[in-house]
Amino acid sequence: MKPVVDRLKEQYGDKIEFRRYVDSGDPVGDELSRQFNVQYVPTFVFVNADGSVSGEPIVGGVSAEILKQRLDALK
Amino acid sequence: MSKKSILWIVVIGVFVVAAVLLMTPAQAVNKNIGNDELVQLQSQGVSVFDVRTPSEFAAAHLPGAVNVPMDQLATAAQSWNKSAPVVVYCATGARSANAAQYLVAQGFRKVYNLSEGIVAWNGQTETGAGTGTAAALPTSVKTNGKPLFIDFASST
Repeated sequence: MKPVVDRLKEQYGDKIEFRRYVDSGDPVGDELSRQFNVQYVPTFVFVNADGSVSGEPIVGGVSAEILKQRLDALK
Repeated sequence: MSKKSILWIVVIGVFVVAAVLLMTPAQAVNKNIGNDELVQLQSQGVSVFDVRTPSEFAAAHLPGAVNVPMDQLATAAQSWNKSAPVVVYCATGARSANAAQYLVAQGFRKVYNLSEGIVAWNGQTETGAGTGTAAALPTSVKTNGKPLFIDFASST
C-alpha cells in the first residue's frame, strides 16, 4: 500500500497531515496503535482538523479511490 | 529373483517414498468446524473474519470478529499472515466455505470455516459496525490543526 499512500500524500499533503507508523518502536505510534486496537496492517485512521475521528478505521488493503473518498470527507 | 535383489528393491522403494514425502509440503488445513471448536480457537486468540456484508455484520456478529465482506477478501488477505490460523464465517457457511477455499488457494496454512454459520451460533453476539472493540476506540486524536491521516503500515 505504500506507493498508493505516497501518491495520496503528494496529492493531499498540503492540506492533510500524513502520519505513517511502521511496526513498533515509536512511542507515539505504539500508543495510538494500542488505543485503536490495531491488529492488522495496514490500518488507516481518519481524523478531522478538530481532532474528532472520522468514521471507522479501514483495516486491510483498500483502493486509492476509497481512501480518496475518506480523505475528501475530512473537515 | 534373488533375495539380494528383492532387498535392493525394498531399500530403493523406501528411499523414493521418503523423498516424495519430504518434497511434498505439509497439507494445508481447510476444516469445517462447529461452535465448540470455534470457542476453543477463539480462546487461543485465532483471528475470526465475518465475510458477510457490512449491514449483516452490523445487525449481529460474533464478539471480536472483523468484517471483511467477500468482495474485499482478496485485497484484505494480502496483509494477513498466511502461517497464522484464521476462522471465517458467514450466515450459513456457504459464502465462508468459498472464502476458506480461496484463502487456502492463496497459501494460508490453517483455515477454519464455521460450517453452519452464525445462524447456528449459540453464544453471544454483538451489534454495530465495529470489530467488537469499537466501543473502546478513541473518538479524538490530537492534531496540529489540520485533518490527519494515520497509516499503521507494514514495512512494504
